[in-house]
Amino acid sequence: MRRVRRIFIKTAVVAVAICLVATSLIVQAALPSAPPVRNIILMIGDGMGVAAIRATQLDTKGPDARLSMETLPYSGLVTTHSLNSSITDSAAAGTALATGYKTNNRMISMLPDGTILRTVLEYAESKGKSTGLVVTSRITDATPAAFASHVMNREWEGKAPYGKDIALQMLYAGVEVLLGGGRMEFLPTALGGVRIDERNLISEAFALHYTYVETRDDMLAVHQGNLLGLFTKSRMDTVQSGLRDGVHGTEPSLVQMTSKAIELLDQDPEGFFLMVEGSLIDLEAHDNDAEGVIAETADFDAAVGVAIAFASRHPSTLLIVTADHETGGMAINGLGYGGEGSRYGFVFTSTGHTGTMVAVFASGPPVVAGHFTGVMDNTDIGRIMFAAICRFPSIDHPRRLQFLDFS
Amino acid sequence: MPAVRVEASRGTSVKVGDLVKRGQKLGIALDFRGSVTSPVDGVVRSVDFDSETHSFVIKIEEQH
Repeated sequence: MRRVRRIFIKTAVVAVAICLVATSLIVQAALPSAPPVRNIILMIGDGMGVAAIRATQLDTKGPDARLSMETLPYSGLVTTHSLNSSITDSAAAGTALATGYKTNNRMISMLPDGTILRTVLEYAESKGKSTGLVVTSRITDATPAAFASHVMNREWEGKAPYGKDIALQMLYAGVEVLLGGGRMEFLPTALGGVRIDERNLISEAFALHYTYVETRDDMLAVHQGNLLGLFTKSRMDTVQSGLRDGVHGTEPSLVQMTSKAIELLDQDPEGFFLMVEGSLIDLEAHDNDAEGVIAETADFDAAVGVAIAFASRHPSTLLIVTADHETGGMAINGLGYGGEGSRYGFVFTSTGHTGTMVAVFASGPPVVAGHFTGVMDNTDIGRIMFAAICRFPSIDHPRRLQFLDFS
Repeated sequence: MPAVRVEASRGTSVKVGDLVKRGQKLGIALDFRGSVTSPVDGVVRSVDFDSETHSFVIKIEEQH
């Protein structure tokens, strides 16, 4: 009896071992030798609703043409509500996109109970990729902040009542390329900045091997290494000011900043994660300035064109174009700007954000980009990016990604 | 001239030229906890978006 039991146990052990080996071989065969996505470019039009996209198309190209973002093969709609409101702000929305989790308005990549949420930028860094943030607002504004810092209040850009402020966290997050405005958040009060800790983060940036620039021409002269560009004291100038067209003034255009960021980040053999924001669509929409909204959206779309050109030469690039929320409740009703005798007219129904869905457009390896269709939540976008960086070859459903190992 | 600040995400319920009463709701507080109300009876003279704090600054000229 004892001998029979020993034989049975040995047989069972051998059978289990064979099953495990076979399963491993099957899984290995299913996994490709390299992940399908090498680079991720996430482009966010702050406050850019569907009406803003259509208004820009009508006003700049006509009713039958398409903006660059509209030529991407995959498209869908995105819900944007935050944890505590049907109407989000850029902090909570940026958090959802950056981490795959919702939080309360005004919070940056943290849950209301203080839990710090890992961001997709941080995850990309941990996987050996280079990363970049490019904006036309302050680099410490809510959207970029959500990718490289963690604070309870979005206003803690250059000073915080406790802990580290956004600028300090961002500088030491290991982000290879930082381009935008907001110089005052990095300087002490003695030098015209807002830092009451009197630290000069621009000086500290040199020790972190950043090349620091304040003008377009200086930025264009950089061709390798880490780059910190702070072109204005606060946010950058609007398109309508004429100072951000890449020719006049000293500020680079969003197209130039996007091109430069891609040029530098693409030198990393492991690939990169880049977030580019058309930040001032939101500002113009809060001011209910249709002409301004169209100008900023067109400017953002030109930057999207740069990303599309790169992605077309690098098919392992996941390109995502979306918005964090809609601003202004823009409508196309034949009246307002452009109306009264013209074919189009654009009006606003609010001075604030709205809870309508926003668009998402995507291109890249179909196994990943193909998930950007139908109606999705903004947290799904974050989770798909996480999964694209880890070595899973396919994504079953975004909601199930919460069970994947993101370490 | 009294000025109040409301959170921009929710916008503001008044525009330039509006007559407001003391205690009338103008918008949401920056911390999203509660409303911001007019401190005086008066006329709204300016509503400016402040990108620094993502808020609207509303100036009200007091009228008796």
